[in-house]
Parts: sequence; C-alpha cells; structure tokens
Amino acid sequence: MGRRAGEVRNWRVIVALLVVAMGIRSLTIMHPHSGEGKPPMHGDFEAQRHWMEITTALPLREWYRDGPENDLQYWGLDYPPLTAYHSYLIGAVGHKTIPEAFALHSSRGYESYSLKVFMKLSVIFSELLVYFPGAYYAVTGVAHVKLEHNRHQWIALAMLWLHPGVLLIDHGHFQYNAVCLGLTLFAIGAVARHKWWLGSVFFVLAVFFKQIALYYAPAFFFGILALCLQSRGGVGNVLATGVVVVAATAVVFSPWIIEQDWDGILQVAHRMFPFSRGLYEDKVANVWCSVSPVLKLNRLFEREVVLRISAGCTFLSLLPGCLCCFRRKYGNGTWVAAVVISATSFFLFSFQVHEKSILFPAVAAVLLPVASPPGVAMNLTRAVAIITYVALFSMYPLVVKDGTHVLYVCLSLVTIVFVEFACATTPVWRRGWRCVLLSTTAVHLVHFTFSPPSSHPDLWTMLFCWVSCFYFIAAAAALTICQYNCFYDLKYSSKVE
Amino acid sequence: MYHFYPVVPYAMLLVAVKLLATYCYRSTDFEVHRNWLAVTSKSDVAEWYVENTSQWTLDYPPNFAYFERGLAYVADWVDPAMTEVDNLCYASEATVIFQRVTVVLGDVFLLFSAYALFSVLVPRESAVWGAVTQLVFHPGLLIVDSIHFQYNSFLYALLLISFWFVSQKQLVAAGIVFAVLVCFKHIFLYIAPAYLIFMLKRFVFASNNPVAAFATVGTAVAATVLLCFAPFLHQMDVVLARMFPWGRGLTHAYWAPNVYALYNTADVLLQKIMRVEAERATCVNTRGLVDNYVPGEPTHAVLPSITPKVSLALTAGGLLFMSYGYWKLRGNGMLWRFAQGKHWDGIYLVYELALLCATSSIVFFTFSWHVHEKAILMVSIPLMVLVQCVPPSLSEVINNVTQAGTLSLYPLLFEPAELPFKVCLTLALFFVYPLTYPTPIPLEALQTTIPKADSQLYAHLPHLFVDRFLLGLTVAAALYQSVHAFLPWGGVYPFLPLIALSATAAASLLLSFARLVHFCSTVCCGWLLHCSVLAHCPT
Repeated sequence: MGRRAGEVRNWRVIVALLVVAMGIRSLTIMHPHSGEGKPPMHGDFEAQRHWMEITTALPLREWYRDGPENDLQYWGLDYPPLTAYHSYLIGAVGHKTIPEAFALHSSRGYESYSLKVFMKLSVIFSELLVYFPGAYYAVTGVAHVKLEHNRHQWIALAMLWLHPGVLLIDHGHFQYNAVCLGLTLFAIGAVARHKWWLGSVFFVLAVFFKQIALYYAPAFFFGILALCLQSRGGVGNVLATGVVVVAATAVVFSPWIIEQDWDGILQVAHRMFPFSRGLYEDKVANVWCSVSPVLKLNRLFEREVVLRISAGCTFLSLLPGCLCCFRRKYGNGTWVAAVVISATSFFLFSFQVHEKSILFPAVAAVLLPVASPPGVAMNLTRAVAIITYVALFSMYPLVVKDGTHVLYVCLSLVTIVFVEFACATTPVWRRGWRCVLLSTTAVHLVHFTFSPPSSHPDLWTMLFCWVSCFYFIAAAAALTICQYNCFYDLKYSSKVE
Repeated sequence: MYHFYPVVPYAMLLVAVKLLATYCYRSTDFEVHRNWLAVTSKSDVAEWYVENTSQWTLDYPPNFAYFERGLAYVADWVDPAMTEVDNLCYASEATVIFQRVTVVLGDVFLLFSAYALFSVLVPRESAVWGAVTQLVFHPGLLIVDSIHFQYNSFLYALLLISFWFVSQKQLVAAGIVFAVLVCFKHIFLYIAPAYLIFMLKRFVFASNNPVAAFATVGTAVAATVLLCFAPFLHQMDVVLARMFPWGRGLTHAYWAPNVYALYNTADVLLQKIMRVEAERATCVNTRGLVDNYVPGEPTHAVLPSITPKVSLALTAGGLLFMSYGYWKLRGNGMLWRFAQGKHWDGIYLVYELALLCATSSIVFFTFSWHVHEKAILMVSIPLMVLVQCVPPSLSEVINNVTQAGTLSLYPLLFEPAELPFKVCLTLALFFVYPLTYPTPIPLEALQTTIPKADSQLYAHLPHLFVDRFLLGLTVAAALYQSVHAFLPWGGVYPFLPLIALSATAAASLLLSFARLVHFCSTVCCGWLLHCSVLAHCPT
C-alpha cells in the first residue's frame, strides 16, 4: 500500500517537473537570440536556419561541398551528418509552414516573428524527444538505488532538465546542443547498465550529431574497453564493440556509401574538423586563452606544433582520470568522473574551443553525485551546483554579445538560490561558495560600472576568463585527485543504503 | 516581528521566474501604463485627468496616478524618452524591462504580505509555503500581470495587509488600508459591500457604543478617501467621468464567464434555431466589439433585453442576500461568544472577511454591468486565503474556480508565441498546482469538536462529478480556442470558440459559485470557527 502510494507520488513529481521545465522553456521563446537583427552574418540562429534551407533545397551530395548553389563561406554546414538530417527534418516541416523562410538563397538573413517561434519550438520538441528521456535514462542508470529512495537523483534530474547552461545556450543563444547531450546521456545510461554495445551506438550517434561529443571519447573508449575486458568474453567483446561502432558509423553515412561517394565522406570529415581555424574562438575560459596575455601559443609556433601541444596537454590531463577505469571492477562513480575529467580536459587544453563548450563537462558533472556512493553524494551535489554557477558565469561574454541578459539574470538567480540555501550549508562549503560568489559578483560589478582601459579593451572580458578558468582548473584537479583516492568507488566508501 | 529571512530565497526565485516573461506578448495595457508615466511626470496635477494626447487616458483613481508619478522618477533615469507624452507606443528594450521589473517588484511585495498573513493564519510551516505559493504563482496573475501587463499583484498585497490588520483585530486600520486600496483601483469597490457589512457587524455593533464606533471608522475611512482625492476635489466631475465611463454595453468584447455569457449564448442559439433575422442585437456582441449601450434599443435578438436597471437589481439583490445571510449567520451568538477573547478570534475574523469578499465579488462578477474577464481574480484571490481551512470538497470547489477562471483568461493571450505556454499552464493547473494544495483538515478531526447539529450538515458534502465534467469541457474549449486561429478553417466563425469558452467557463464557475454560496448559508460560521481553533491546536 505504502509502496504504491510512493510510486504514484513519483509519477506525479516527474510530470510536475516536466511541466515546469517545459513551461520555463515556453517563456523563453521570445527572448533575443544570437545575431538577431545583425546583418550580414547574423549568428548561430541564422546558421541553423541556413542549414535547413540548404539541406531541403539541395541533394545530399552537395550539402558539404562548395558550389554555385552552396556558398560554404556563408555558414557552410560544418556539423556531422546527423545534424544535417535533423536540419532536413525541421526544414521539411518549415517549408510547409513558412516557405519563404527556407527558400534557397532568397531567405538568407530572413527574420520574422513566426520563424522565431518556429525555430524555438523545434528546439523544445527536439529536447522533449531526446534530452528529457536521455537525462532520465542516465540518472536512473548510474544510480545505485531506485529513484524514490534517493533525493540526489531527484536533484540531478531537476538539474539536468532545468540546466541553466542548456537553457542559456539552446534557448537563448540558439543551438541544438541538447540533442547531442541527450544522445550522450543515453550512452552514459547504457554503459552504466553494462550494455556497452548500446552505449557505443548512442555515443556514435552523439558524435555524428555534433563532433564536440568527442570530448567524452577517451572516457568512453577506456570505460567500454575496461568493461569489455573485465566481463565474460574479454577480447571478443572488444571486437564486437568495434563492429558495432563501425556498423553504426556506416548507417550514419549510408547515403554516401550507397552512392559510393567516398570523396563526399572525406569532405564531411574535412568540414567537421576545421583545423585551419584558431586555437580558441572569442574569449574562452580555458588555459590557452587565459595565459594568452603572457604566452601566445599561436604567435610562437606553427599551427602544426600548436595542434600537437594542445593535443598533448589534453591527453596528459585526462589520462590519469581515465586510466582509473582499469581498476578491477570499477564502479559507475569512477567512470562518470572519468567522463567529466575527459570533457573538462578538452575544454581546458584542446584546440578550437568555444565558450559554449563548457556545457559538455558541466552537464556530465550533474551525474556525478548520483553515480557516487551515498556517503559523498551531498558534497558532490554541492560542488556540482557551484560549478554549474561558474559555468554560467563563464558564458557571460556570450550573453553580452547576444543580448540575453534577462535570461542570464533569471538563471543566475535560481542557481545562486539553490547553492546558497540548499547546498552551502556546512562552514567549509559556505566559505568556498562565498569566495566564488564574491569574486564573480566583483567581476560583474567592475564590468558594469567601469569602461575598460582604452589600451586593453578586452580586459574585463579577460577577467571573466581568468576567474572561471581558475575555478575550472581547481575543479578538474580536485576531481582527478579524488579519482585517484577512489573517492567515487563504492568498494572504498560506506555501504549502499 | 516576523522572520522574513526565509522569504528572501523565495523572492529571488519568484523574480527569476516572473522575469522570464519579459519578452512575452504585452497588451495595450503596457502602453497605457507607459502613457500614465508620461502624463503624471510631464503635466501638472490639475492636468492629469484632463490630458488626452494618447487615447489611453488616466482612468484609475488618484493613488495609482501618484504611484505612476513615483515610478516616473526612476523611469526618467532609465530611459528619458519613456516619459515623453508624445512618444506614443514607445517600447525600447529598457522601457520594456523597466516596466516588467516594476510589476515583478509588486509580486515580491505580494509575497512578503502573503507570508506575513499566512504566518498568522497557518502555524504549520509547510502549509504556509503552500498557501504563499498558490498566491504568488496564481496562474491568473501570471497571465494578467506578468504577460498581459497590469499591476494587480501589489494591490492584492494591500488587500492581504488589510486582512493582516483584521487578524490583529485592528479593524480601523484594516478599513483605512482598504480605503487606500480602493483609491488605487476602483474595481476593489466590488468588495466594498463586504467590508461595509463586516465593519458594521464586527466593529460597530459589536462595540458598547455603536454610534461612537461608527463615527470612528466612518471618519477614518472618509478622511483617507478625501486625502487621496485632495488635489482633485475641484474637478471631481472630470475624475469620476474618467473612472466610470457610462454607456458601455452589457458584456465586454469577450464575454466574461458570468450569467450574461450564458444568456447571450442562449440568445445566439435561439436566434440560429428560430432563424430570426436580427439587424443589430446580439450579433454585435459576437463580433467582439466593445458594444455601446443605447437606451431603448434591444440588447438581444430573441430573449428579453437586459437593461442596466435589471443588472442593478440583480446585483443589489445578491448583495442584500449576502448581507442578510451574514447578519443571521448560523451559530453566530454562541460560537462567537465562545471565540471572543481567545487568541484565534482574529484568525476567525480574517476567514469570515475573506469569504465575504469572495461572495461580494461573486455577486458583482455574476450580475453587474460590463464585467471584464480579468475580474475573476477578485473572486479567486480572496478564496486563496480560505483554501487553508475549508473542508476537502470545498477546497476542490475553490480550485475549480481557480482552474476555470484561469482558462477563461486564455483569450487574453492570442499570439502563437504564447501557445506553448498556454499548453504548459493547462497541464500545470492539473499536475503542478495541486502539489501546493494544503492537506485539508480531515472531517473526522472536526467532528469530534463540533456540535452535533452542525456535524450533520458536514455529512452533506457534495459530489463533484458535474463540476469535473464542466471543467473538462472548459479545458477542451480553452485549448481549442487557443489553436482555432491557426487551423485551416480558422478564419470561419472566429468568435464561435470564444462563445464556447465563455459559456463552458460560465457554467463551471456558476456551479462552483452556487456551491460556495450554499456553503456560506449553511455551515460557514461553525466550520470557519473550528478551523481557526484547529489551526492552533492541531490534532
């Protein structure tokens, strides 16, 4: 009887949470988006619209190729095929609803009320179909106990569904990161359930939706490898997983394979990895950008060398965390920590990083408290909440560019309330949180009150980078040290509830 | 006095959620209030009610004008162009954010006053938060204030402060606050009869010297009103003409869900059935124009015309019925003497006054001339104060009022961008708001303490099958009305879905009103009294 009542309550809480998450998204529809009213290039909103225009108007083999009909200089498609298919689907619906917004060439830079509503709705629907179930699958997958017994799972589910970063980037700035994140979360949930073949399929899909999912790749590689080797079947499992990955890739590229357009596949790969671009875009809270006032890697070395240095640093920083997966019978906590460390290392050290990329470590980190033993879950929830706030803070330069201040203020308020009144409840955490809050508020105040010195117009933006980069490095280091001390391992912590 | 510290995080959350609606659709009321900012800051006080550059002239009582004058000081600093009288329909981003923020600050004020009031009414901390949440996130306020754009929240905050004074048994102060409130927005005259009869019974005739008591409260209220109107006493005719524009039609463009909505619907149906060729009559109503009343012309095609006199008579009759019932309230003498002197009799008074206010609003909403659909808030919000203490089935009746009332507000938001929000809000009405409902006081707990005669009445709690059915119809009508314009056949009969929504919401609301009135006329006093006792001695 009591159990049934509990189940009913769970169902009602989940629906209520879903309705609140959707309601908040529905209020963001009319918020400004990137590049609104800024010709000639506009921003990511226009890029997404342009891809819908291209994919619906041109045959598949021309999507990624420069041609008379497809000017790659103007927001050429540089995301993997799944994004292109996704654009095609939405564009097909769009052609039925607002044909003039997706007409080839003539729709360039098209802006209207109905297009805005249509595009924002497409984000909401994509999230509803992929990200929401993905988050649920991942949270229940990495957990040790059932949902109703553990409030950290509820917190994690709420934090994922209402993640301020996702809201700011996908619904404010305008992108479809949540689809990629949703597929990744499905993959994490599957691997945590020891269904590594399913996990690899989802991960391949995530990577071929947005190549940035490769941030997670080392952790998935080592995690799945260790899982395969440690379970019955051993090397056979590894081979089977390899076959699954190749098969999934083949399915994604099947239109090219059927046409035997091998050049086309190379062209897609070439578009996906634009090494000709810079080390980082705009001002990013990663290491290379933060040290740039004293050490400008781009100016010192050739592009090839820079690429090698950044790749080397990335691997050096992610390897310790990922190798922990080879401990005998590692737990989900260890593996999720490896995923977070991998993504954070990429963000901090890799090549061509955007400020939006912080979303990827930040979202994965939400799973950490759920995956860890109950004894450490509360402390991890606190840490994750604080890092979520810092991640939001680090994206402020983007907010200024897009004009999404109102959304930023709302999301910051909610995050601050959550940390201040629900998380920073012990003296140590309170002190740490005060430090974060004071430093970020000080930067905001400086940015708001004074205009930057004319000799260094980017100085205030750099302040945002330095402060958040400091916290990110600290978090990554703490994470790795904890990883080495078996912090996330069930074996070494208190027993399951 | 109170520990307001726990309200701070809640206020921050409230601000965050309400501010999200900044870029949503805003009605002409946004421009109305911008114009008032300009008029009050740029012209002399004597010109406020004369100035007519914009068509949206100042038509609220003086307190609201002073309020706008105060805001204008800040507005000038935010964006000077905002307070130019000739800058019609000016809506820069700074203007929009400024005006939205002022509304949200009103919500914060409502939050604090609700917390103060419910801390007195409900000693259980969790129930306090449930009640506060129901008030500050009231779905009707979300639509009317946060999106459509009006300043209701801080006015309701004043009403709650008046209630708070009642709970402290400072009835004169409560009367003064209410007088101030009426001088902010005269729609609060809807509940003036409630205050009048309440003051007469509980203050004037409850005191040893009724004449002196009447003089005290009368002077206080009259002085307040005079003070508020002081700068305009020489031009009261102008001010009153602005505040009460006579000559409007029986119903607003979109029929508020009251008796006349059903009457109009019946008229339209009869007209179709009997194939009456009407030249003017109800057709004008259904075309959605703000119809003017022309004396002598028929208002309906088939059914008898409704003249202002009929409406006035119905309203007055309803109010008399309410007053009589209240004066003769069952169990009054014995229970009241029982209550007096105890620390919870103030609480009992608040419950009583809230119920009276709701009843008075119900009478006006149902019967009076040219009612706006937004006036449902006047019924719903006083009821929210009661939700804590009423029997389980009645709390469902109150929720029914909130739900049907909210659905009837949907036509206010008609642009496609708000459609997803309306869908989410509909789901929230049934899946999220119920989580904030307090656990009603169980029947058994009361039956042990109430007199036998009363307890038999409690056994007759109504079954709500019909209510649920009508509410379901209202949901269907509201959702269909929301999408109608976007359907391929949306251009045909654009007002048919509006009529359907009006009629179903009216049926649903009127049934709930009837149940409330029935409750008031039977078990009210004993029930409320026992709830106020139980609130302090939980079993």
